Amino acid sequence: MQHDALSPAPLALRPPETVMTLARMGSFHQSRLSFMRILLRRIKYESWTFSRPRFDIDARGVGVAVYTAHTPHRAYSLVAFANDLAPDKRSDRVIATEWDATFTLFDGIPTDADITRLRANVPLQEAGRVTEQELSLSRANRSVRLWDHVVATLAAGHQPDVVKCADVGYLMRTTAVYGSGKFGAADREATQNRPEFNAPFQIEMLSVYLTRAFVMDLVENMAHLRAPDTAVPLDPALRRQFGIGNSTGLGMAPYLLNHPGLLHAWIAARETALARVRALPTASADQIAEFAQIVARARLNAAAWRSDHPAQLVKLADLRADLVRLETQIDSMDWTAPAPWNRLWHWAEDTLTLEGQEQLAALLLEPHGALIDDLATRMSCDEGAVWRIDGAMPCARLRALVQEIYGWALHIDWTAPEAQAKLWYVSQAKQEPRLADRIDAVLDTYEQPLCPGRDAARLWGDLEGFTGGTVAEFVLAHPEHRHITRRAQITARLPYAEIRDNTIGAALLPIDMLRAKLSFFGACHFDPRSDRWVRITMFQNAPFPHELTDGPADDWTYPPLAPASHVMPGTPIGPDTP
Amino acid sequence: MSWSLNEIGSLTRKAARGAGFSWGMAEEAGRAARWLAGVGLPGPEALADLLEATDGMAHGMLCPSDPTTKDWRASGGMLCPIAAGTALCDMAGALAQARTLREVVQPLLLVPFVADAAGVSGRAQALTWPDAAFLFTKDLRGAIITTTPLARVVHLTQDAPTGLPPLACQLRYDLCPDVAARLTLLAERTYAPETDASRLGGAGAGLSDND
Repeated sequence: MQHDALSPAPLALRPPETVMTLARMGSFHQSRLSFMRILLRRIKYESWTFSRPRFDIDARGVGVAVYTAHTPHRAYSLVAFANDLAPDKRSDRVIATEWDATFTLFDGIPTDADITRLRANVPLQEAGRVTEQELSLSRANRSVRLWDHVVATLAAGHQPDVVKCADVGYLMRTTAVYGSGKFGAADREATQNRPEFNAPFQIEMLSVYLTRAFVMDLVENMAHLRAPDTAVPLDPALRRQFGIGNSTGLGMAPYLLNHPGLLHAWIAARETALARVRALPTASADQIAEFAQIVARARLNAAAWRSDHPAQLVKLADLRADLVRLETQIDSMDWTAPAPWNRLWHWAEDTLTLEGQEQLAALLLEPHGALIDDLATRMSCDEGAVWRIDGAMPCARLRALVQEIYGWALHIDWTAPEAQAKLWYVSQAKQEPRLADRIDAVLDTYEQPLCPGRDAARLWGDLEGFTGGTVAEFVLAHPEHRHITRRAQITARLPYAEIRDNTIGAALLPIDMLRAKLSFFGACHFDPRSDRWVRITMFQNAPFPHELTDGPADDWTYPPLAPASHVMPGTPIGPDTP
Repeated sequence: MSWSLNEIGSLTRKAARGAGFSWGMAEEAGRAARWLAGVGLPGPEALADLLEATDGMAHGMLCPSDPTTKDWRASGGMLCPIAAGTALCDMAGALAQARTLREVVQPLLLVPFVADAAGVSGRAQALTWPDAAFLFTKDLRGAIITTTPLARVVHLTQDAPTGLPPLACQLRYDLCPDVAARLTLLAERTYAPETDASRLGGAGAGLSDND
């Protein structure tokens, strides 16, 4: 039980040993507290405006465009460089060296001199260099399945095939979005005190949101330049159904382990939100109706979700069946009995699979924005504030913490090959995290500290024989345990900081870690392409910048039940029109 | 070249690991170098020198042999500022009495730890050696006359040296290419040499990504 400032009674938060298993994290869904949605709500309530001061792209699709977001106090510009990429050079892997389009989010409005500097660096990505005026660096590739089809049909004056479009869901997919000081860009410390960037990953989300606007303009522009007399723009309702695809590989998985304090902040915010809803004594007729409607929309979302991966197919079948059960339960349950949301939750815990439970955890938040949206301000973490080791802690207390947090790991026989079947290392070629089978002892030297369970078991073993009294004495004698000791002390304060599962076992699916992180971004339609990388779509069905003034900002993550009625007629933003 | 502090922290942490630090100690080294760069002091340079001077030496030879005494020495002669600094910080609550640190390599690297110890304990801490003085109270003050490869004696006291300028925070650091190259050389020891098989398997290429 934990206290929550905004609720009078203690809230029952789910225990970390329930929430932080890989199987459950691999079943997380986007929610009201996802970073894309936090961004769009802010854009709406702060009435940001958008302009496109530059769009110089030729018929081959080569050139530069600038999209500027004007907040009440600042401006941020996506600078996009479009490229005519030879098909054989197109790869989403981090080892690629050329892309269909490359981007940076510029802090302010770039001058021509800035554009010239960026043109010499941004298209090179990791091989180039940006400065503290740039906040992110990213790139995207066209969908081979869809791009030419959409350009050709629009040029001929027709709309593209709706089924084909739905099957892919995007025209370009980003393959990396770097922020936080990478490749010379501004550190997070430079922008974290700006309210618009207080929540995590807002720079990256803004960059992707503007990238989507650019991609849609680009495809229409190429159709127009190909056949100026016959070309038509995309139908606005169809246009909205395009998100930005994304390929995410192993490089992102260690993030959750490398940022324990941040991981806790994300999970704790969502768990607090769920607990607040469960604590409500009653449900109004409006809330029940809104909830039933969002569940119906979630069914459409699950129906439209495509994957060929065997594990994901099983999960999708679970999710679809669970949503049918949930609808039946909503229709049949007694909503007038006390604490109806909590009773529905308990029913789900007893009845649904992990997919269904986690989907419900997200859906329960939907009709309760006023109750939970404030939690978005609690999703950051001053990691430095929890980083120092408390050396005065008695070793007996550290032992108790290890037992409490890593008890699951103390029961594993770490000498068994399957317990340590995998090994995380960083490759020389791209300096990116990789995962290997632990068959070659040579790689052991290079193992990254991404296996807290095993490390905690080793810590436990050495604590047992240690005669000193304090943690300070222990880590001085055992510097090899300093890393895991720090983790244990962080997790003692921030219980969701640690994954309570084996991150190097034979059964590890890195895609579970990827999905947990991407769900907090707000990603939908996870489509694993192996056990190590996953495709997603971002901002699918979201309003475009020019649609946010007159339409809702946060009602798009589940597809509409009927053909969209609130879609504004297409009024693409023109040059210099805020 | 202008580096972000994130880049400085990441490179120095890897370099320390490459030079044989445990991961937990490498994290401390990276954080210290980044902290110093963030106040315009040559932390990355000091760390490069330290790592080269102590490359491959065991922690047990470089750390304070008996931290319960007032006089800290390392059994191997040279006292490592990261090992001594973490030990100081870990026992920050008990730092009421003055301490003398002997034969400290790159003493500048002690500074971030003493600053943290002052913050944790809420007690003023002063750190001095012949070419430098620092004072950590509610604000951070200090200066170095010149960088010191090895200080025979470093004093940690609660006596406040006067007239020290405040440390000014900055978000960028100009790291000279030569030092960056030396740190990179050490950092590269943490990267596993790659084969074609590991390149394909390690990231799990799976299905085609060009569709």
